Amino acid sequence: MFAPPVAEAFELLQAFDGTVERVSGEDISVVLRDITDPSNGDEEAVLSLSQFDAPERVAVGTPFYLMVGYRTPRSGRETVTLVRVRTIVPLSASQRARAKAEAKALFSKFGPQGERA
Amino acid sequence: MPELDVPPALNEVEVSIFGPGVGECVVVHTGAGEWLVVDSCLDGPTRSAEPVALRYLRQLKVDVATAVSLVVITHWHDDHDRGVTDVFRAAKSATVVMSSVLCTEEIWSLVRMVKDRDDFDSGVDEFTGIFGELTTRLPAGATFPVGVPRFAKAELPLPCKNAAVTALCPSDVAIAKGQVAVAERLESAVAKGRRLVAEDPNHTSVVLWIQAGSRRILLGSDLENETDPRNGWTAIVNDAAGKRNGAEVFKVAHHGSENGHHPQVWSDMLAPGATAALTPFRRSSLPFARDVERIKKLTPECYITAQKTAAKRPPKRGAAVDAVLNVVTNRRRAVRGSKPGHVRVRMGRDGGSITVDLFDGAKPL
Repeated sequence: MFAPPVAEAFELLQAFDGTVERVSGEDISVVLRDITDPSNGDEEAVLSLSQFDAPERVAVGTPFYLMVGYRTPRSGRETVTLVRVRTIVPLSASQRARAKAEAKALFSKFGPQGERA
Repeated sequence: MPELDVPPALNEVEVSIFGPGVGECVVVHTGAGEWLVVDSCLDGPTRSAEPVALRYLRQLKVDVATAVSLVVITHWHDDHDRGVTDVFRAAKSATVVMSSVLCTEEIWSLVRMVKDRDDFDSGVDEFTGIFGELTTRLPAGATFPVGVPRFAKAELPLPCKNAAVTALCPSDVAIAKGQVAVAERLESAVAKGRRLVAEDPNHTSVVLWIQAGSRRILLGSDLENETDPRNGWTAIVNDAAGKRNGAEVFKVAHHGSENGHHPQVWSDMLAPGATAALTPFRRSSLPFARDVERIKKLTPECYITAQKTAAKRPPKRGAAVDAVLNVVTNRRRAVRGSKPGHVRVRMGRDGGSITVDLFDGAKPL
């Protein structure tokens, strides 16, 4: 079962893997992929910028988790939504070098071939 | 009632257009059992659904492995490429065609960087899948045209047995601009840990001119107008002057949008009363009412693959979850409808009337 990292007691009901598609002021158009039930198709929605935990990092392509669940403070259970901006680990220098070498080999096989026509 | 599973006669040309939403696909029978697949969309709401072209061709009992000679990806947007790797894998005899904008070592290098990284959820899955399939074919001794991709640009003829197929764009200027834009987008995603989102303009789309027997077909892809006359539709109509006219079937460009419309396409390149078909694009609510009115004034024979307003409710997930989602999100809706609509155009290769049949929600515009 997928369990996004959450710092406090949180009973997860629903999680989406989201991607920011457009930024229009406070309106953030996103695509949501259901990771609780992957048989559901993707959805589009508009979120407010203020709902993101790190609004300064929101840009086209920013990945995030949208989670719905129960939080249980002392006063009783409440339903909450968390929108957590994700961090994708950058590629290492060796990964980049390997990719460039692979691309070079591919390009030599499948590159521009107009003159071969 | 027209039958959906009856293949065209050997001397018939067919243009089948599937859509809607974030998906569009055109399947063409050029005659004598030869087929082309232009773009790809899925036959259901999930990413694991079957490509509609494969479903349709198998329904017709077409041997996809031998009968499909071209698989064309007009541009790198997910409403045009979903499932195209599966189509190409099945079409063992086909040559794959993509825009020249993708043909740089730098872009391929960046694509390779993200291909094994699920967290990028990259829009390059189909691109890498195509090259994976090409790699498996090449050692088998395949020679041109099988096994070698073609990178389409203006006036490039494409390999096809029963029809003359020509790419009308992108122009050299569009290719140069597009290669810079794509490389910058990829580099930014890799460097900043963001996903690839298709936001480059449609000016690198591949428009196709097909002549099969006496029939002429114009497939407009998503090409739009550009301020630079060396790009977009202006470049095409200028190049076509006097040599490309009389197309009887037109896949309307860019979901019928105003910016995909060029009057000289209709006056110079299409036959009067040409049969026109388009797919809606629900993210942008295309075509708008004014687009529909404009197209209807240009030809009485115009069709759309699906109602653009067809309901796409998200699935129910339980009262607590749905209640919260309804509060925190606006305009939430499913990306994909359940089944694409289908406009089928058939006509004799050497003349005669044109028959249009509508399936799965397609209707006159």
